[in-house]
Amino acid sequence: MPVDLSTDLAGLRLPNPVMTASGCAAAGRELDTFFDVAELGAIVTKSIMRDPRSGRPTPRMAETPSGMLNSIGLQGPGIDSFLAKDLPWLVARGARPVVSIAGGTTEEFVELARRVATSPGVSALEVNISCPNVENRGLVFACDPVSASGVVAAVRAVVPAGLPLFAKLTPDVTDLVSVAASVVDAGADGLVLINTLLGLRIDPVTLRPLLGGVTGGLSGPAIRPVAVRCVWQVHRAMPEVPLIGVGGIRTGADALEFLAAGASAVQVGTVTFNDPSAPMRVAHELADELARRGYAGPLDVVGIAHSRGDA
Amino acid sequence: VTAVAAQHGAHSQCAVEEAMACGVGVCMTCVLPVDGDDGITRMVRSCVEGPVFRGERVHWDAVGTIPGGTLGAPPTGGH
Repeated sequence: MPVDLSTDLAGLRLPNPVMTASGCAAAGRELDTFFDVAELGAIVTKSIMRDPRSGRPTPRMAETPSGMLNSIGLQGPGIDSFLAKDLPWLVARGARPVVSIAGGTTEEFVELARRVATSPGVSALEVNISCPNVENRGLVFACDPVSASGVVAAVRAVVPAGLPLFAKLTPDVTDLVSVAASVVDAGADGLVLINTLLGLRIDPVTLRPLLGGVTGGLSGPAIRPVAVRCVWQVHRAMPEVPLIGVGGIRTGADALEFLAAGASAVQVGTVTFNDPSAPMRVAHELADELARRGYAGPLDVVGIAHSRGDA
Repeated sequence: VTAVAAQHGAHSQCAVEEAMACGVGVCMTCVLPVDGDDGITRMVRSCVEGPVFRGERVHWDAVGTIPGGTLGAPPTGGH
């Protein structure tokens, strides 16, 4: 039986449920030499901010067991350049751009959302309220249900109902479900689970932090069980809310694990750094995995793990 | 190398080696401060915008930092 990977995510029609993960694909152009960006479910851009931003000092990357730490600090050209160059390229190329925005204040998020929402060709908005690489932990809005819902409600107010709004959350909280519930109440159409976990490595020679920014975001296969757990918990609490699972996915089988836990789509991130064709490969492998088990499409398995045994 | 070349009135081109995660231009790990044609200093990817730069364009002393005046540099305290 041929597998149909097409899927619907909060009203967004996608040819397959696989996307790039924000920060792992820039704005899509570089990866287009490795696969057709228009074929992938969606291209999630690196989080864009209002102003150009240099990012943090180097070193910005440290290897860890089955993963890595990054401390980029949201380097980017700012929204003017993004809307003038990057977004039109993605749209002309036929890709479905999911634009990730990040701000230091609620006002910055609102301004970004308004400008992105009025730009042609945007498929969805991803609100990054969980980047760990900022100087002030208090600015990681997703660490607190009240701050998180405040940003999402303000963004929702300027984003038309027809444009799906996803909020990306951090696992570095005591009670993820309460944060998830608060941003859904505030108007998020779906949730992206998860951002990186805050980590730190010490240089064994100098006995000082390895990263220029001291702390960094942990990603890669090391965090996959954490991400699957987060998807599981939130799906269990709010089975009607579309979830996008992200964290350490390298293969179609990994993606299938997220779908079974309750994700309707997945994002492929860190593996892109050693296999730039990975996002499209994961989509093909996911089709194979579904076919092997006799499923017609991804919807057949979303959340299926919850109905198996006593969970 | 840049200094020696400059002493003798010659241009220099230097291939740089920065720690990279992806090597294809998407991760923004391998950046260093380089002046553009417009004279503006930016954190530039050595993998796809280098690895060979005009020696006098690279802020060699500032590698590992964000020199003041870099496009988008933080006002204080870092990002």
